[in-house]
Order: sequence, then structure tokens, then C-alpha cells
Amino acid sequence: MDNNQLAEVLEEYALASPDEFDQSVLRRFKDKYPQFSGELEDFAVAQTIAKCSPEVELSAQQEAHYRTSALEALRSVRGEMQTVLHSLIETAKVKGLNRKELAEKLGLSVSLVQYLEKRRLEFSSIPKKLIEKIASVLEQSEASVVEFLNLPSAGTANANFKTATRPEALKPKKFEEAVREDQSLSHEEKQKLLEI
Amino acid sequence: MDSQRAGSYFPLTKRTKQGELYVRRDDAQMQIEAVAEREIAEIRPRLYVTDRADELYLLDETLVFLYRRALFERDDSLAEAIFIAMDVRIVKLLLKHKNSGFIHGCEFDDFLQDVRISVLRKIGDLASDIGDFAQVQFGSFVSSEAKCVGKKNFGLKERERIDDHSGRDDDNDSDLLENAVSPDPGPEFKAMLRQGWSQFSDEQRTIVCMLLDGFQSESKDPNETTISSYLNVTSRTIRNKIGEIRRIAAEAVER
Repeated sequence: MDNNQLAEVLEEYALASPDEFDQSVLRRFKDKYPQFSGELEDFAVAQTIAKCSPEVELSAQQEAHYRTSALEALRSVRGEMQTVLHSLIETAKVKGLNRKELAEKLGLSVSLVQYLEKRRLEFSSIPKKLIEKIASVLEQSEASVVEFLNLPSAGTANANFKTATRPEALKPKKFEEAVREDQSLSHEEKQKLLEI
Repeated sequence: MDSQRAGSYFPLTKRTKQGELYVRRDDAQMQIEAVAEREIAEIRPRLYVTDRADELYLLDETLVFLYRRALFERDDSLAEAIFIAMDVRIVKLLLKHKNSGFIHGCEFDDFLQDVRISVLRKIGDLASDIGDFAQVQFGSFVSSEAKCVGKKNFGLKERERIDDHSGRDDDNDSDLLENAVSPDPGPEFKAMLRQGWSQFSDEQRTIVCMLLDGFQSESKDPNETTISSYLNVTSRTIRNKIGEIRRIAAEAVER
């Protein structure tokens, strides 16, 4: 069983549940997701316990203890976030650049930036000079940019589909191919990019 | 908010499977809109308000919003202060489950740390809509993360339930179920249950919560989730357990 799938099912159940426990909602979800039947029951009872138990009081000593470990967790996750780049576009936003401005700074078109963002370019075909430029514009280490561009394609990860099955993942393109196909770039701009 | 501040951390973008956009509760949305205009200096003292009845009390979902905004604005100091306030609420919620199936089989502190990290990763992800659930139903979000973190332990619990089941005392249960009734406990009994809380064992507390929230104690329908099916005990046993709870509660009221 997949933990991400379980999280999605519990989220869907929580959003469908009224304030008071409703047997029919739980039953509907157990029927819909029989593989998570036990987890749904546990989750429903956990919500009941959270709702009906009196508030827990913490002593000053307990608060200090939990505060220390909370800070450890926060620093640990912050460390992960700082070393891992999650999005070129969001990182640019923090620097005050929108997509178009980011594309201009990188000498690319917006659609090429989108290709990079979704990791739809073969990593080996991306010019090293472009990687250096991305790192410089976003003020990130080259290693984190390389790590980001090597992540699996984000094409269908969070998308919703009208069909019951996910479409097949698009095959990554070569950088040169994406440049040649880009209709928003002039012939000169294409040449310049292909010579990087 | 200016256009930059109204970035991905502000509007909810996730949709349900039916295509409906996630929506915050009205009280959370109103509070978020109000605090979004405030200066940080005004918000900080409110992080320490713990009385829910206080008008300055910040809702859980508001804390998530403020945390994401602090991350977006790279204000680490504020993000830390907000998370500490949020963490007290996470701890209190998980402590309610300390001796239940959620945490069964592992050290509470280890479990708590794993849940915290999972929560932080999701609410700190500003590039996707994965943190939207936390801004809609924070308590359910934390419980869901806890459930996922502790799945292996739940598996253990499930096995124990099956083991218990093999030795269950289910003589003549079908006769008992012929007349099975699970009446609403009624306001008087509910008040007694609340008064007797400190006297109850962990299992009795689970039963009490389930009774208060409207679970039936037993049912003829094997697919229905009841108190007896959840605890995997027979109708006879659950009736005895409820009888014992009633006795303890009555004693607590008399004292």
C-alpha cells in the first residue's frame, strides 16, 4: 500500500465527513477503498477521540521538552529545504522575478523555462553554461540546480485527469530539439541558444 | 495584499476529485484576511494566546497560513515562532492518542518527531498544493499524517486484534444481537461520562468518545463500524464494558 495514496484517501474522507461521525460516509469510503478499510476506521475513531477528549494540559517542563524537539525538527526540515531546490519558478518569484523576467534573464523563452521547470528536457542535453546561469540568476548552488533538473518529470505528478487512468509520461526532449521547435524564438535567438 | 504577497501560499488551488476548489472555513478565511493586513509586530504576541475563547486567539489554519507566508518572505525567525505555537497544538492532539492504536508499539517522542517532519515538509511546500488540506482542516491533516507515519504500527495493532479475535468469548452472541439496541446515551449519561473521565482507563476513554460521537455499540450488520467491531470484542463483552463505564461514571458523580 502506498502512503501517498493513503494520505489522499484520508484527506478525501475528512473533507466529506460532517462534524459528527456519520456511519454512511465511513461505509461509503470503506466500500470505495476496501484496501484502506482498517485505516479509515482507525482514522474515523481518531477524529472522534480528538473531538471528544478533554483538552490536554502541558506542564512547563513538558512544554520546554517539546519545544526543544520541535526546533530540532524545524531545523532538520529547513536544512532539507535549503539544499533542495523545489521549483525554478517559485524560487525566481522569491527573487522578485516572474516567469517572463526569469526567461529573459536566462535568455530563454517562457516555454523553455516551463520545460526546465517540469524537467521535460533530457538532463544530458542541457548545456552546462545554462545550468551555471540558472544557478547564478536564482542565487543557488550549481549542485542544487543539477539535482533539481535530475528529478523525475513533474508533468503528471499533481494533475487531475478526466479519464480513470493517468496518461503516459511524456518522453523528455533534447534541449536542441525543444529550441528548434519553439515558435516564440526568432531564428537568431535559436542559433544563439544552440551555440551555448 | 500586493500581487507578490498573494503568491501560491495565499489562495487555495487544490481541487477535490469532483473538481471543487478547496475552501477554508468561514472563520478561518475571515481571520486570515484580517491578519494578512497586519504588521508582524502585531501578530507575534497573538502566537502566545492559548485560550480559544480569546478574540486574539489564532486558529490552527491561520497559523499554517502565517507559517507559509513567513517562509515565502524568508522570515525564519517568525516562521520558527509560528511553528512553536503550532507544535504545542500538534503535541496536544497526538497526546490524546498516546495510548491508542495511533501510537501503539513505538515511543511517543519518536513518533511525534516523525509526524512533525512530515507536517513541516507538506506545509512548507510552497510550490505545490500539497499544503492546502492543512489550511482547510488542520486537525484532520495532522491525524492523517500521524496515520501514515504510524502505518507499520497500525499493522501491528491489526494483527493483535486478529489474535484477540481467535480467543473471543462469543457464545450465544447471535441471540444477544436479536435484540441488539444501541440507544443514544442521552444527555444525562453523556454528562456522567464527562465527569468520570479521569477515572477511566485508555480503552474506556475510547469507548466513551465513540459513544459521545454517535457510534453504535453493536450492530447486526457486519459491515457497520461499531464500538464492538472496532475493539473486536463480542456484543456481550462490549455491554459489560459499557456497564462498567456506567458504574464508574455514576460513582464519580456521587463523589
